[in-house]
Amino acid sequence: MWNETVLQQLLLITDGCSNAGTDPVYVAQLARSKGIATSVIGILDEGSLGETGRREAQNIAEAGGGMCRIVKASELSKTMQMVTRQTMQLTLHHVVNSELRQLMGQDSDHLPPETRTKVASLVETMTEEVWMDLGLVIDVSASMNHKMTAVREATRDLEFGLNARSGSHRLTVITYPGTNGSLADVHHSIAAEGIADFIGAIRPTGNTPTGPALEIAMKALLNRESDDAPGSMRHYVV
Amino acid sequence: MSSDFAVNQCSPTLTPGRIIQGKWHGRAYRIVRQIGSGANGVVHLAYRGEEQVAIKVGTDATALAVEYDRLQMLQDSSQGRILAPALFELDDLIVGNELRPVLVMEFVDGRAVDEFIKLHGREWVPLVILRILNLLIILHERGFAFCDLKPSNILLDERTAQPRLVDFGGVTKISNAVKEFTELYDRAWWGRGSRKADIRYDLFACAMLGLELLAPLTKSELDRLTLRRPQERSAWLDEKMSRLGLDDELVSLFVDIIKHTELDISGFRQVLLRYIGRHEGMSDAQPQPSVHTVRTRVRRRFDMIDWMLLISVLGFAATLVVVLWTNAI
Repeated sequence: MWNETVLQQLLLITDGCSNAGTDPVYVAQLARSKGIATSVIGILDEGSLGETGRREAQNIAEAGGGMCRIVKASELSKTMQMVTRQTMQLTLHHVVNSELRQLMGQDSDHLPPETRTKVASLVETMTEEVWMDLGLVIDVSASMNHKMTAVREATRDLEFGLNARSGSHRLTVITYPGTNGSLADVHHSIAAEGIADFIGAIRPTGNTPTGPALEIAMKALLNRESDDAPGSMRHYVV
Repeated sequence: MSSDFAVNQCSPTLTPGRIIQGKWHGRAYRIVRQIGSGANGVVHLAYRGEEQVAIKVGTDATALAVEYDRLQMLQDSSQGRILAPALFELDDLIVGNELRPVLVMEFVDGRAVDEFIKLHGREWVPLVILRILNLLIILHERGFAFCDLKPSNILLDERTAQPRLVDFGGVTKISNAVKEFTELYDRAWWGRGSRKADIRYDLFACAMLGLELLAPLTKSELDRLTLRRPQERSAWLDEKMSRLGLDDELVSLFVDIIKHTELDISGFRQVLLRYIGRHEGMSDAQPQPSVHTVRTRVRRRFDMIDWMLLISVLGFAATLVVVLWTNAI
């Protein structure tokens, strides 16, 4: 029933502050207006993620209608799973609430808790069944060098989670800065192989153009949609 | 996104003695202390009037509502009530100027399974795992898997060694994706299957739990494994099992179960029952002696040996005295 609903989400993994190109907060806002939620995971150890990086991460998530988590590299796997899932639920909850507001003039948070469980069950079913279009935006600037093994295993874990769902999904990975002087590279996950080992083999180098990378990611999600997404999709704008 | 429930914020600290009020049911709860934390929130021991309750303060209203739904499903039979904590209410709490979703449940008093085994001995492992399987069967029959099986979610009664499961936030409909897991007990992390919730997912977790209780992984081993690929972890596990299983009958019991992936839940139970029968002359049909009686019996046997030793020493001394005395004369 819900497998014709598509949910688009960007998840940014970074360990520093952006230092080139467009403002990422602006891009997150733009993506949100096109129905794509943006969440951010900031990695703590060694990188340049100081107070400024932390604040930028929070601002991106706030503008993008997603979540923000600041964690150690060792917690990356768990956090990526959780953030992806909770951002989905946040978006779906919002969708259900706006329909409830139209129908009953109030949203589920104002319903008695026992009645709210019915809405929650619906959100849970949707989380399992919706068409999931996920763009994973990974910072591969020089400071990420020692964290790529953790990123590799976290990506693999994320793919395990996506593969276990009954609904379809598409995973696009955007790494930045790109090779050969480009701002970012777009990689498409090939179903059986998985993309984790490919990412693990990338040698991080260069600066941190977070804004342009998010913009490329957003376009990748919007463009590919016409190619291989199911025929009659319903879009939800957050 | 406007919502009364901020998902990306930490749970506020509830200090002991604080009294909080539910918005919908109007009940007041007096916080005693924090007793645990799960993925869906922080659990506190509290008083609801004279009654002790466990109160889970969540950050995500949807997740708590789903957990409430799962617990409610299990309240309709005596079996279900053995498996899961009794359910009181789902409510919103006014904490400061924020609204927090809470789940109020029966307070399950017990010792986490790993602590229990440390305290009472590793010979308890097969019986405890068997009893956990018996609980899981109840859940499986209703079409759900527990998934996030780990020591802190399994509490044992100190006198009867009967396990209870707590934290039903990870309970997932069979054939859906697993929502919550712990690496050590996760089939996919070990490169031994998918992360879909099914009966065998729980069985793998149970077998790994048995092995972990007998031969725990060290922190540094776990840290190293985290950065490996699943197939490397799987090979590492095979190597560990072949090394450990050689001269330890208890460990090899669980090694066999992990290796025989075709075992279903009744096969798993049979293996454990056979082991228990062999070693203690007990079967599942008879109630097992409680921790308490085992302890006293051990002490009594000790007393008897003491007495016999004392009598023989006295007897020997008396004979010696008599012999020496007659010789002297």
